[in-house]
Amino acid sequence: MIKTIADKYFRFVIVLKKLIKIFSIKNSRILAHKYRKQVIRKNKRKVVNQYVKRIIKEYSKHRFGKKTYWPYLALYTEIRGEFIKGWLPYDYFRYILLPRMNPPEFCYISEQKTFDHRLFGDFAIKPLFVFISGMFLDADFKFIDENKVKKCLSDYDNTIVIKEETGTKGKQVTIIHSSEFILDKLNRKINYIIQPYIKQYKVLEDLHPGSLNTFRVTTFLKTEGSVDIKFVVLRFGVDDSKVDNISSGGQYIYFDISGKPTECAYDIKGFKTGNRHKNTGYVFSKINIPMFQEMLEKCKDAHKKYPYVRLVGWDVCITEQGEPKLVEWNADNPGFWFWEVIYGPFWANDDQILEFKYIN
Amino acid sequence: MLRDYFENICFQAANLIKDIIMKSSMLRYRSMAHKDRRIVVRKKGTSVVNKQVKRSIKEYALQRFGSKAYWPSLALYTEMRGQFIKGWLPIDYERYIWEPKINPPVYSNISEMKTFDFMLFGEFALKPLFLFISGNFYSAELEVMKVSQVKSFLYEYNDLIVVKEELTMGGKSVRIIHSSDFKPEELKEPRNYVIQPYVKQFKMLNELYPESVNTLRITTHLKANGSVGIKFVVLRFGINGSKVDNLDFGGHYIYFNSEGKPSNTAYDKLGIEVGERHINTGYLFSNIRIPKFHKILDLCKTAHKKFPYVHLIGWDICINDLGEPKLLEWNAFRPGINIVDANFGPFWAEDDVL
Repeated sequence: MIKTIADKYFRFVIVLKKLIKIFSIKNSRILAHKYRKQVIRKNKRKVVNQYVKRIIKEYSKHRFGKKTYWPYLALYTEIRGEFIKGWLPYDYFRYILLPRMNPPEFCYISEQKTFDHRLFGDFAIKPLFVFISGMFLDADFKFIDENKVKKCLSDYDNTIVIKEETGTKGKQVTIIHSSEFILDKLNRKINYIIQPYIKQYKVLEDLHPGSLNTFRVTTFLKTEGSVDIKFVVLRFGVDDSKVDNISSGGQYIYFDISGKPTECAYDIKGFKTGNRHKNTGYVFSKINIPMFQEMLEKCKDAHKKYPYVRLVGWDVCITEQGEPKLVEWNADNPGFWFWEVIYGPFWANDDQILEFKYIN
Repeated sequence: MLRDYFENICFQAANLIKDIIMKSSMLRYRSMAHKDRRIVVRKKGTSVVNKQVKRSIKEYALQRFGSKAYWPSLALYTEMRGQFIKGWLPIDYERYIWEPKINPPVYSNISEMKTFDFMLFGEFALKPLFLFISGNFYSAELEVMKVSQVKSFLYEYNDLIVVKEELTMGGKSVRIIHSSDFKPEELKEPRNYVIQPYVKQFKMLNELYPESVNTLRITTHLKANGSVGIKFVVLRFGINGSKVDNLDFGGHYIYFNSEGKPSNTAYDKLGIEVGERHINTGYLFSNIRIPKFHKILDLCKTAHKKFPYVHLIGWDICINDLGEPKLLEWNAFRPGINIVDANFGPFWAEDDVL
């Protein structure tokens, strides 16, 4: 009887998951329609007429098996000003393709920020301490007495960053002076990483000094085991923002594979925001990152150390000394659509992505 | 917004059902405990759980775990041991209440990634010949290998190999084949596999029972002060032609004290004594001496410190023909063996562990 109940439960959970997926896809399409209207209103022109819509639907049916993926493709078309074959609609990418490329059971580890230094060595920022299972450990996971931690931080006399393990989008990040560290403020049921505050490379500091401006380098593990760079963008904060995150108001510019930036920056909805930073006046096309190739190589090497997922978004900062350092990596949701629209399609000739299978 | 609302409803419904299933599973464990207790009583021909003992057990369950309902497995342990001892953890409490707290599933999941063991624990783990991850073959150092290289290597290797599928438990999906019989196309692409050399076990363990790889289960506990303690050590071995040493597949076990001295008798999965010699080979258990016993314990402690995200780990260690201990797998999900607690515990008598 209990086995029957358990079977029913598992079946129910599967049905629930399917329902959530269907609902999420439908909801994301509603958002696509909404965004498209906003884009049309702002651009004061409409690119997707009946003819273009028919072409989009045909492409959708031909490549993804259904016409219903058209709303995001139409949104992309309005933003870009033309329809380009090869685009992946976001709903297809997020809910169909990504779980196949990055099986969820192998993505958890990317949320374990305290494990990054163990996994990727010195490419990751070496933590001052990690707080795991209610204990302080050094970067090599050697136990450190709490009194010693207090003393070390007091002697450190500099700014530190405290991150909660499961925090995302810059949330659950505290920047304080090391002498202000209060041990009792840590929740013993949560893991934390305590890092030195990164003073960033001069060019990036001049671009917007209020935030740590990071590159998002997206790498793709191909079926034969080599790693490709899919795209590189630099994100930066604007106004008084302390974070560069796009969903928190940040903007981005694209870099080609040789390290040359685009002239114009964009916001989260793909609207151009100008050739210069709106606060500092920094001209985007003048951004020169001499260690750009080194950064790409480090991301590729890091991906090869964790080949369980195919698509990884690496958030990399450049230190004052010009060293690329991993801030965090994202396998659960490496982010996609606005970059695909403006600078893509990134998957136009990559038919292998449509062949990935689910683990049953 | 609508999606958030719908997801919230689904999340709540899933949690409610999960709760019901958890309680049903606990009931199932209690029902199994009653059944096993009857078997133990029948086999031993005597019962120690009378009304007075049952009352003591229920009082202990209420006082320590908040409910008398946990009494059935404690009563089973009492019959196994011949007396009730305060400090035991009932299996239903251990599995569904305690373990998820000390070994959060989000972290214990990594112990199921068998292809990751060598990267995590280095040479302590059995060095794989190849890994098959995301549809590609890799060396132990994660260098991509061509299928032709793998085939050619295994053809020349000319020995037994073990092919294990990832995310499986209890010896399932493990194949032992000759390397020349290996067919890369038989690996199912969305799954990962580890391809290991077949371990020729230490002479003494082979004499104990040659049909199975007889492994030590060493359970380590990460304490709040960062130190790692050994909770218990047992050696499991197969019997009657079985190819595996797993207790659920009929295997037996002997217990080792902290000095490495084995128990005089072995036990079955119900904790019943099965004699002083192996039932097939006649090997005298008290003669078993594990080489480098203390070194093995230290290796497990050191390995646990490399993964401090979970408090309790069960290490399955084999000893090769050169006498070197090698990690076969580690278990952060269901790391304990509750009958060992019944026979030789209680290992969790202090309340601070709860």
